[in-house]
Amino acid sequence: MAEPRGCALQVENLSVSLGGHAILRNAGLVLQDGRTMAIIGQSGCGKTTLLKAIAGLLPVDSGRITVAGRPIDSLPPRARSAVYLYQEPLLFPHLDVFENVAFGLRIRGIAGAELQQRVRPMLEQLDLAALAKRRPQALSGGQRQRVAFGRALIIEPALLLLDEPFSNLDPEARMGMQTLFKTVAGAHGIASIFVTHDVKEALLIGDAFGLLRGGQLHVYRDRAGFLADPASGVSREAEFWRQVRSTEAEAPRQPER
Amino acid sequence: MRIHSPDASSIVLPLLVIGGPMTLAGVFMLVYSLGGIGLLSPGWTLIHWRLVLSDPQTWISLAYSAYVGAASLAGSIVFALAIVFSLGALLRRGALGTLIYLPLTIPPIVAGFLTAELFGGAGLLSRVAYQLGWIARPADFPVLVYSRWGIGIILAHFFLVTPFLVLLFDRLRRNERVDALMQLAQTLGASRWQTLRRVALPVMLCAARPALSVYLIVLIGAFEVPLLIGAQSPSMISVLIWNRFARFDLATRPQAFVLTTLYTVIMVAALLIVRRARVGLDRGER
Amino acid sequence: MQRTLAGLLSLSLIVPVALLVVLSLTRYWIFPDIFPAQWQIEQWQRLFQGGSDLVPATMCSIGIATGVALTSTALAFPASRGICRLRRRGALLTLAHLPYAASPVVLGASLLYVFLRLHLADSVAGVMLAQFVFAFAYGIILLSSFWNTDVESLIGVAATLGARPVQVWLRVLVPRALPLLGICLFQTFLISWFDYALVLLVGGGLVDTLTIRLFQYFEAGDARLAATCALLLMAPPLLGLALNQRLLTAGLLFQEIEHDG
Repeated sequence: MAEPRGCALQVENLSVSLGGHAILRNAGLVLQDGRTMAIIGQSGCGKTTLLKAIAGLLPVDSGRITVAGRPIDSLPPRARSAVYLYQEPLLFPHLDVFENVAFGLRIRGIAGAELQQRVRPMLEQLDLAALAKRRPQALSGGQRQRVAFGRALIIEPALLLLDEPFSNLDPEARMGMQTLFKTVAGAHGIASIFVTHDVKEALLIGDAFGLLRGGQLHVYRDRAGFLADPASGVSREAEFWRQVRSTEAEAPRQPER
Repeated sequence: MRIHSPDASSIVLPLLVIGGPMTLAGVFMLVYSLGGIGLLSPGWTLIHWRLVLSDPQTWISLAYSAYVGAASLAGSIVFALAIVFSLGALLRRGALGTLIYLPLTIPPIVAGFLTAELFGGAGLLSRVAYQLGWIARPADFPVLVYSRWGIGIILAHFFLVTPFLVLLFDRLRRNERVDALMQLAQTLGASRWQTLRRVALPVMLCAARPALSVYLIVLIGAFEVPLLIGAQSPSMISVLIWNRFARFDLATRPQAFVLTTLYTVIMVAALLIVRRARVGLDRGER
Repeated sequence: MQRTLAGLLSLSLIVPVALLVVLSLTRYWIFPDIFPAQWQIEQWQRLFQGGSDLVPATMCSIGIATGVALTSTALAFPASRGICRLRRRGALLTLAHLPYAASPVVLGASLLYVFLRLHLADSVAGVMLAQFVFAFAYGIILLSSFWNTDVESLIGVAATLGARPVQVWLRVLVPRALPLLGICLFQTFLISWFDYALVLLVGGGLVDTLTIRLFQYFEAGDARLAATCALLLMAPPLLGLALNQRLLTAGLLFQEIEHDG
């Protein structure tokens, strides 16, 4: 890294329990400005809990969370500048595409020409301009997810928290969204935590990597560390493809009956 | 095979059973109101229409019905939303989880009777007020039953409709993921009041609109409750029709059918407008 | 705070029903007493010994409501499928709302003339036919929520396995829809059971049901018999509530709700 980066998010010793069960134990991570941390984890490992705890949507047992150098532990969700993006896009069903994207601005009392000036370019950037008057019910999965992105990005949060946002999309839409996310998040310079159970997606999107298992968060020092760790699943994925290739190579030699 | 081809007989039946009587009734009320039939009818005439349309009582009654229906429904909506958001899961547990269904077992005619016994001059509340020293005799108790403002009718409807709306809103709150939407709005910077006003209420009212519009239609056409505990005047439209139809001499009967025609046209138009708006919503238009 | 609110709400739900019970057991209850001075159970005794004139009214109500419920449910089930397979199903479902928009009084008054011609006025059959229009329309609205692509595939599977149409109905569709059909039976029973306007207009004073009685007692100022009548009217729905809460809510909400039946 050439230029020094600020610290977008710092989590120290974060523990969360729900109904007496420890879901997250002493999790810690540091995320630099403008970077994306991909966290791998199977379902039930505490991914959602980690994100919701950072967003302030869950009560926390102990720990410290700092966003852009500011402790936010005692702040309500709306003052944390961290937007949580659900697995499904969860758009406001009573608002059209434009109003969904504009929601955060309207909350802040922005209206009229300024609102238009800020929402229009966002719709253009996400290729949603033609759909501005549509209701969420009339959108495809990928379109909905783009609206959810626009709605989050427009308030220029310090942090995006993404909870397997593309897992419900078909493969093609999914690849499109992955590329779009890289471009848009890069352009806006917003730090993000991206949780997924797909190793390929993590490698494609992440600048930093983490592994969440049984409530324990392990953060890798670099990409190489992530690639090398057997627990991350990268080697398993590689082994699978190696086997496929060797089987394909053998196949023509088998006699036909 | 019949099960795979559009089955004509099963479409004919509803058309016949519902459309048939509706058409018969429609034609009959129109013809009767125009003097085409009827025991004392002197022949085709517009006199009944002229009489009814120029009678202020007609319009007062229609407006009064709209007012009573809207007031009953609005009160129930506000109260039901308040209950759902302040009690939450408590509504589904313990005694209250069962008691909330209790008003659903009460027919309108019983609700009217109960309102009289609870809020009437010698009713239970009046007795309590006396024991507390607030009033000296039944006449001192404010007129709620038989009130010109329809307070008794509104109270009875309120008691009947609120539990339905509580159950409806509670279900919508879960089905429409209202709590998740509210959380999301919070992370986007909305305050508690803003999440309620800009997210929870519009989402739930929007989703409940089909049910709410049918309730409104049913409440506007209410008969038993206003017949039991409504004021002599103004009277709700169903009661007015009943009075013209049966209470006085046969001469007013054509007027009753002018009223039924007028009322049916208004309500069916309202129903169609509601439906159009709903189809638009389903198509994803604004 | 929440507990207090829940308590107050519970109280406001119990008091009216408790008042009915108290009223039906009262001998003397003059203003301003909070509780009756003297109690009695005579009319309940007479009712259960069969000597009360409430017995024929109860029987009449039961007979009419049972007939309306059975016929309207049996016919609305196949009819709802016919409607749901149409491209313009929405228009026909709107048609099913029409009787409610026109209101029972309007429809009752207007149909009376036709019924007079058909010699159906002032008769139990006429009242049942008029109530049937409403119950059938309601049944269609409720049962149309049953038909979806899953059910249609199920029909296809049964047909490929060799089932004839009648067998598909009896062995696949009816068993699968049984919970919903139960709700429909119960609700259409209540539509008839609770009805006053149609009995009044079409029955013309000759058909004697519990709602008619309640109104008469109320007009005559006999709160005790009116309360007894009211409790009799509430007995079937209360029974339904004890059996299954869904019997009472489903569909009366006039909203497409999913049925996990």
